[in-house]
Amino acid sequence: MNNRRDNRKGYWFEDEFKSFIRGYYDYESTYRDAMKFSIEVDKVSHNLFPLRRDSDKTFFEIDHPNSVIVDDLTEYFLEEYSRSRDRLYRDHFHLGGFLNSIMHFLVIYRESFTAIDWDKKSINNKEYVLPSEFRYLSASTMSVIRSNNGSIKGYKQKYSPFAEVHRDPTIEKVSEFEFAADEILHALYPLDEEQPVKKSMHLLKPIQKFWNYTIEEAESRANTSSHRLELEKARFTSLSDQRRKYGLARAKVRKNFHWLLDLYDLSITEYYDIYLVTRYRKELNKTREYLINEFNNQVFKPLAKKNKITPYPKLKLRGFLTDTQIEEYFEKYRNGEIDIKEFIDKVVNKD
Amino acid sequence: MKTLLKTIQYFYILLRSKLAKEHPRFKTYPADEIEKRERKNRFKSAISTVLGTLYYKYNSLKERDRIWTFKAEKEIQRHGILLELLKHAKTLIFYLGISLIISLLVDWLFSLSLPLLRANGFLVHYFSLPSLDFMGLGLEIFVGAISAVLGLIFALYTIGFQLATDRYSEKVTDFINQESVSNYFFGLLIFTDLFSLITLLRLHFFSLAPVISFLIAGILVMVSLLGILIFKSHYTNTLKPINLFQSLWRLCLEQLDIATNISNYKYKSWSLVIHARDNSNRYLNIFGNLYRDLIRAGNWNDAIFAPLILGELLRDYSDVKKFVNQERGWWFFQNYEKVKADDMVMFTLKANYELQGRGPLHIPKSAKDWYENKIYEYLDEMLDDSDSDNTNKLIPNISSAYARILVGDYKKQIDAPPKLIPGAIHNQEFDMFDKGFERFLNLWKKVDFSKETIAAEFTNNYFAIAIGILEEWSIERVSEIAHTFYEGNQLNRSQDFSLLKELPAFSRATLIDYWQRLEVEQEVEGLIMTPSDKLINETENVLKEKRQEIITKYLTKLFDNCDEIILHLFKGGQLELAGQFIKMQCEWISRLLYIKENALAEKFAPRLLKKAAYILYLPKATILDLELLEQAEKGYFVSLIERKKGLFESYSKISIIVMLMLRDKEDNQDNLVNLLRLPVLWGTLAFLVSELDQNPYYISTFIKQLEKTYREGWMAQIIETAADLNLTKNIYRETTRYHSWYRTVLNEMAHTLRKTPIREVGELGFQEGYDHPSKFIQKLGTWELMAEEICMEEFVEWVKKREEIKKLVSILVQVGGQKDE
Repeated sequence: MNNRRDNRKGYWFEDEFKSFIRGYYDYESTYRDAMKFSIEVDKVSHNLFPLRRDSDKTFFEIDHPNSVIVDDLTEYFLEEYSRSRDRLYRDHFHLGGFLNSIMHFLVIYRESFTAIDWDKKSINNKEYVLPSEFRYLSASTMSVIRSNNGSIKGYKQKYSPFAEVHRDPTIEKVSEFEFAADEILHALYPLDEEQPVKKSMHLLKPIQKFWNYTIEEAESRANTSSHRLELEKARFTSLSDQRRKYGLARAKVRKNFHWLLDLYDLSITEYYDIYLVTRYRKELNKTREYLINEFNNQVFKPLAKKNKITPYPKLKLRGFLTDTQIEEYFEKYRNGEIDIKEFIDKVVNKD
Repeated sequence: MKTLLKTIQYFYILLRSKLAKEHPRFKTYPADEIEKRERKNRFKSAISTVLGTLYYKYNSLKERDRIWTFKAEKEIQRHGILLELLKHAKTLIFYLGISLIISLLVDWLFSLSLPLLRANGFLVHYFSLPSLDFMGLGLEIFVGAISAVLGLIFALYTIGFQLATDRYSEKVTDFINQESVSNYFFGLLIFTDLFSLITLLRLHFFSLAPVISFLIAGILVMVSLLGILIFKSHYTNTLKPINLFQSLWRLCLEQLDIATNISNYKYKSWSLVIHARDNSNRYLNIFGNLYRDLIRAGNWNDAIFAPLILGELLRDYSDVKKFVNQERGWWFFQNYEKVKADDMVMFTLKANYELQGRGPLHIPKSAKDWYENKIYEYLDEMLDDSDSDNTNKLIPNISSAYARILVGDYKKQIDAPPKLIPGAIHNQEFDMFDKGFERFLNLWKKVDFSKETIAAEFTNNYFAIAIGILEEWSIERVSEIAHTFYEGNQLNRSQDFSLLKELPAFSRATLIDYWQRLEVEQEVEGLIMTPSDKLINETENVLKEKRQEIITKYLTKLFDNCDEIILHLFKGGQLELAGQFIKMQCEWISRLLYIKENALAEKFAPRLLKKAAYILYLPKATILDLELLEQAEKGYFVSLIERKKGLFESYSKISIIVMLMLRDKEDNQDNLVNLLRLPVLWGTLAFLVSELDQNPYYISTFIKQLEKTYREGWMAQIIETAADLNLTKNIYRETTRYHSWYRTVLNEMAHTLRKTPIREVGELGFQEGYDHPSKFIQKLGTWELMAEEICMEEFVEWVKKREEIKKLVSILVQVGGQKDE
């Protein structure tokens, strides 16, 4: 099986050595384990552009003075069942899902590299050079090539000599690929210096302690004759204390993920609840705007250049409350002009 | 460095997998962690078991230490009885002490004068000093005497005990037998006996003279003999049933203290708490047995105290139940309950347990209401027994017991108003309250209202319970405590407020909950985000909502229950009592208005209106005796001032009905004038409020109801005449009764309305009046000193005009009818 198609550069295979050294495997394991951060990773990535009927058109629009270009690009990029594209977003049916997947990688690895394969495409009997496929590339193998002034010149994928990829007979023996700047869609986690998973690694200890406690507590009940230290400790430990410690640790994780606390047995004040919703909504806006900007700069700008379209078309967000609107509602709540029900109605149920 | 370590680790995994001929596993999956966890390492397991056993031993030792301390305390406490014995015999001991000093003095003088005495041949001839033999003999007498006393008392005690406990069942007898004073006294006698015996043996076997021991033995003998006096009275008291009830109550409180005194070490000891629970259960069982024994023996005079003591016991429990450790269910008896998959809190435990293939997980579920249930069951049993009660005191005492449990009691104080001893409602033990309240509501079916003492006791308790429900909550205190959670924008980590005894259960739980909510913010954000005013607002809202829920729930039930009782009393012809219950309902509404629960008062207005018709069946004497007119007037004026339309309608109707009933066959002229003037006094204020609000509802509601009581076309004339009957002797009465209501509305106007220059038609100059669309209200600003008279005149004018308009309308209708024909 050859994993590369014709002239397509780059692999999605991991480099075990690099992934291991850079701690990527540790980060990944937290996502795979439901007891660790899988809920947070999933929720944070999927809440960015949640699944909806007629999804993309409710989230995005393309802005350009020429209505024909707008129609063609909307048909290609935003129509859910577009006939002009084939596997543009690979496993995702639409742009929202694709951006969610980028967010998913950002949350775990802090950066994401997606190869852009440019091809000739015909839309409504007109020829364009457009991305035919966005392909995920293994982040541990990627690096950015910068020019002397710091601007991005291109990207490089390099596998270490110990990578398994060299030992697989079905894969072509190439250990290094170079990409031009317009061949990669590169994004960095926009809300923090460190990605949430890395930032929360130290909180795994109290979280796992609770899960271990539940096992030991259960075992201590079943096996009353055993005096193993873990079981004895469980017998003399209070469930509610452990649950509280776990709840607080989980709450800190959720703050690192820039998400709501939303924990089953951890009550918070009404004010803090609303404060969190306000902060979360504003951070969602910031993330969405960042990804849309990157998409415009790294996909639509080269697209305009390749197709000689001026000015370059812009992807815009639609239907979301702005930061100012959210802040206004929060102020109104704070001043007692609206109550929690109205706030929920105006802000939470809006998206 | 980290990279180097990681690299080494990487190659180690690679090498290990090569040697094991496995695929290298750099990644971990949840399954790997489970596998690693389940892999049994014998060495590790052995170490773990040793450490675990030591840890277990350490915990057991700590627990044993608590028990030793507890037992030592008990032992010391037991010896307190000796002090008690001495304390009770203090006068005798005082005399003994004086005697001893005098005797010592005499002895000393004697020893000084001994050489002189020895020189006296006469004395030497007739007297001698006590010898060792004499001491030996004395000790023998001590032993013999004490043994004889012991034998005699024990024989008498046994006979007395048998006779006294003959009427009691085995458990009660055992309890009496464990009585500590008697046991101690017998112990003391035996000890004295043995001590004297040992001293006697020493005298014979050793050369050293036991002078001091002889003296101690002598003192012990004396104390024992003194103890007979105390023992006698204590023994006779102990066997009295009322003292046994009280003794059980005291013992139960001691046990409760172990489970609820957070600052005491015993609170943390599962053995002691479980022991206390079992003891409490045992004492309650003995309580039940004792009551049944008394009933069986036909001793109703003693049996009737049982419900009162039970009431006190449960009331005391409601004070401290909030401190019982709810999570560690040591105080509660446990049942096992299957954990269901929809229990999100317990699901993790369930899943982990059931993974082991041991079947469904059952967890202990605490019977958190076992204590109150037990007491309520006894009260139910007593209620069943009440049919055979010949003292007619059991039912009143049961109702008093419920009143104490539900709303507490008042304790007399010297030079101070009576102090409220809180009940379940004040302690916000709502589950306990609910159970007791439901039982109390059913109590009336057993009450014989024809017996005055029973009916009076029941009615008083009924009233007390209702007023207890409407008692105000100290929400300000909760806010004060909530305010202390803040240290700037940081959380005050101290949770000392949870130890406050005066903080009721629900308020305490709310405060703990909100403290924990702030803790989440502190932990997650590093500071408190919620402003203190928002937090206080939230906590206050929680409490206010709960309070409203409680009042609505229980007042509705009370109204329903009261309706049943009133109907029952009417059917039985007990009209005066029925009147009392009607008045009681008015009082509840009055109380609601007083505590500013206006919305709730309005909600119950239709219930009050339903009662208006009943008043027609009450004798005039009862109405006067119950002062229903004053009650109705109070509601009328308050609802008018508070603008509560529903209530106003109800009270208007009740006031008019009461007035009519009082007018009936009234031949005292002064009373008749007073009654005739009532519509003027009531109507005037309704007219004033309607004009002020520019809302005719109040005056039209009142006049429409009043109109029905006069013959067609006579109302205006009678009202005008009554208004003119402003006799001097009425002024004092009316000023006392009605002036304050008028002043409230007039002051309201003075505070809310602006003054502006006004000019009457035909006048040349301007006067200062109220800025209001009504000419009448404007004028009140000008003539403030005569405001009440002006209001009355305007009201009478309004009634007359209304009458004229009515006539005109009637003529127009007739003319219209003729034209149609």
